[in-house]
Amino acid sequence: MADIKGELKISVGRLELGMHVIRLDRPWEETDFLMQGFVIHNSDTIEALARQCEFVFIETTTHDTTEYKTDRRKQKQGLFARTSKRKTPTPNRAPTLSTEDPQSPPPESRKVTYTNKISTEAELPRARDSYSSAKTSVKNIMDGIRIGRAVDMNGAREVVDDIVEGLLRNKDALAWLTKIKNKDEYTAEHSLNVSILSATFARHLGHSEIDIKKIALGGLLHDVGKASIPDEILNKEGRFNDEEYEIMKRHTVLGRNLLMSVPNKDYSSIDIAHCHHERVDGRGYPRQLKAHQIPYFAKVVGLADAYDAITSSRCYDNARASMEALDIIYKCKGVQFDEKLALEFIKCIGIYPPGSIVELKGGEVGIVINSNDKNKLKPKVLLVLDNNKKLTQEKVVDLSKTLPEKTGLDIKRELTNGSFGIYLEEYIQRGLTIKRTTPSAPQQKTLQ
Amino acid sequence: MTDTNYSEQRSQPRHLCNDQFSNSTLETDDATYQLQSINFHHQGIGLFGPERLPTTGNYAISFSCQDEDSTLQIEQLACILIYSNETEVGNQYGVRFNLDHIDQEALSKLLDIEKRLKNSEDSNGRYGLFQN
Repeated sequence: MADIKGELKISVGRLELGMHVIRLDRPWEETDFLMQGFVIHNSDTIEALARQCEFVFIETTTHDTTEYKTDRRKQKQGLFARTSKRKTPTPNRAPTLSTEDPQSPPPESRKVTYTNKISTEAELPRARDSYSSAKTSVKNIMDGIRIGRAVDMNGAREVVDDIVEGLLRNKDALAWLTKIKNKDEYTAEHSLNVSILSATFARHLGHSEIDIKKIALGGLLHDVGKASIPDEILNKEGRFNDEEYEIMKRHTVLGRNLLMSVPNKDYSSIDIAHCHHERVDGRGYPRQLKAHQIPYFAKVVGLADAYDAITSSRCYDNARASMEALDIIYKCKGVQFDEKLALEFIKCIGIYPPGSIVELKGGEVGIVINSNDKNKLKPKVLLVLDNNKKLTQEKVVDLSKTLPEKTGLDIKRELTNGSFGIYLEEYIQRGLTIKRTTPSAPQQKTLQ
Repeated sequence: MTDTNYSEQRSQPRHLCNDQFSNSTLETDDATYQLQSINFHHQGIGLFGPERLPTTGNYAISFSCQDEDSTLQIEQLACILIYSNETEVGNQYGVRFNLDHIDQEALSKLLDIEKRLKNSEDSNGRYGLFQN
């Protein structure tokens, strides 16, 4: 019997190993697949197809293609059915592009608990240098892409190694630096902040150092596609028109294409760049993936991205405080963000993250130095203004150690950077030292 | 360094909209938008959603807040956009209600909603995730 080549439309739920996929229900360019046609060799490929398509076209080489059109359950009755049970894709596992690189939350038994190995005060100068050099590297990577170079993956990995090593020594020092927003350097700063916040979140979730680095790399490169957006749109002051807004949204596909084109590609980063704006209610972009189709690492980075974007405010108005972003994440849990991850993210950031400027109930103003993992509402605060908002002798108060009746020392609200003339930049520049305000000899004392 | 002229843009804190607070419907002359209600004060509300709103035009907002006994419904209350932060992750808007010509019944509903949200707010850190 001569083989007759043909094609058959088939639902992705019915795909099996060995089938030859020749066409999809959408253009190949809109998917993660490098090859435009392939034989399915493993279940990960089926999962990747399930994530991106509803049906595909397979090549048929038999004389009778109608057999696939019949109910497969009927075909699989009898002995054949027992010997060829298809491995069904696990719906809850986030499918990935790599077979060696499964993305998933760490199982309870393998969660890592991290503790700070060094104080925030001691780590801050090193963190400041790391942040500054990382920002330069990110700018260079983006500038390189603009002039036609490939994404510098080695440079990006070096940045991530430095960030993650710092975070593993102390999780609070780099968090301070993410609070400073410079509108002129938004894209580079945002990429770096998302990398730091994603890695901090991954540390909080108990991921291994290897996974933290993968997530941090994906966070750093999540917006790399913006380097392909025309400067006049990217740097536009004021509101985008509808056309410009749609062009901006293309950065996910552009980023995926850029990261796919490098020789030493990182599949997690490709997933993250492509999927970080997908929503669990299926209304995200670019592909309106369903919750179970969104790669886990993209969900993790998507939260950090949202938090930094909301607290940054690119052009239009002043940045808002952290609580505004947490309110949005909380209210959009299960709609835009994965519910469990959203709640964990809020726990990770806490109500008053390090570097927050806060007003106490008694009226004093201070800066949060360290978050307190056991009681996020009572961090250690450097008090700088008295209850009349006048400069005062600076002192450090550990709110978790104050007496319950001293309610004046509870935090009333978070303020934005610059409130009452308090600028974080000044404190980062000078280091976390107590400034003596006595009229005679000014002295500085390192915090203990 | 001290800036005594500094004042918060928002004079009153907004309370987190609880699960009994509906999405908000914002109507303009020619379109209707559904947005997630984020936080609320009787003078205004924070909204978030994937769609962009036109920045000019007349708006009317509707939402409701339930509790065990009753539902407080606000229908087509005139309002203005006072803040917008449009990002790739979603669009954030601050809305101020026009209270100049509001009737007493609607105003008392707004105040009651605020009271309900204040009472339902977790004293241990707003989201009920942190212990004092």
